[in-house]
Amino acid sequence: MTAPRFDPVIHAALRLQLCAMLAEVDAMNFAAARVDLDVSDSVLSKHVKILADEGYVAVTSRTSGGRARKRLALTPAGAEAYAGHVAELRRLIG
Amino acid sequence: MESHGGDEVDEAEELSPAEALASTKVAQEALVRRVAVPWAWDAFSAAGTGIFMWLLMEPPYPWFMLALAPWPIANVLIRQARQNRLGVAFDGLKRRTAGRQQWWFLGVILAVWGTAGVLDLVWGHTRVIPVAAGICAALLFAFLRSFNRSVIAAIMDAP
Repeated sequence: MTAPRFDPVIHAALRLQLCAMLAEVDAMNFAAARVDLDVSDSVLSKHVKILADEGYVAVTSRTSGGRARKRLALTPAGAEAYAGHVAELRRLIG
Repeated sequence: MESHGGDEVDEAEELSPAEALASTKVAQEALVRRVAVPWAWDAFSAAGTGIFMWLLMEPPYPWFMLALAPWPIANVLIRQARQNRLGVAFDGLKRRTAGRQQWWFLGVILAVWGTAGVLDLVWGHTRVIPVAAGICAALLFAFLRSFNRSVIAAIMDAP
């Protein structure tokens, strides 16, 4: 059980939603995340960079079908931080 | 899903705990819509692997082994196609959906393998075999569809 811990880096609306999706999968294409979150490339890139700088999200690039695809994945530290943040939110709600 | 269309990083946006939790649900629902179809790829892959294993051990003709060679390659291509189509990867063991998928996948392989062996043993020499194979395929389809829905429900119920 992860200890409840409020994480201001994750709490921003878009980053929280991105972490919620990444917590359910092993990896997600940047383009898929952009569509599901309904944001522009530049906005998502900025939020991903913040999470990546914190060590919460790993960004990898691979070529598939002649096209470069950027993939996002939650790191173990990111998964723990997200679980702790959700636990804290649930504790606050009671 | 609510649009975050501007180019600014919304650091200042304050969410109450309830709103924040609700927003994670919205994101997960978007993910559910995205992953609502992978069972078709997985079913084909698992059932094909089961048949592959059976034919590998009980080949009707010795040369039939050569016809099995492309299957592992096809399996990899199916998985890549699924991931490219969905934009989501479930390869690992650490996520909820992936973990359950692993057991389901293994179960289907063993079930198809065993069923093919039993059908061949009991009815292999009769005309009943196509009917039995059809019934088994229908049961497999129903099971896979049910499993797919349970996986989606698990995502929807996640905290």
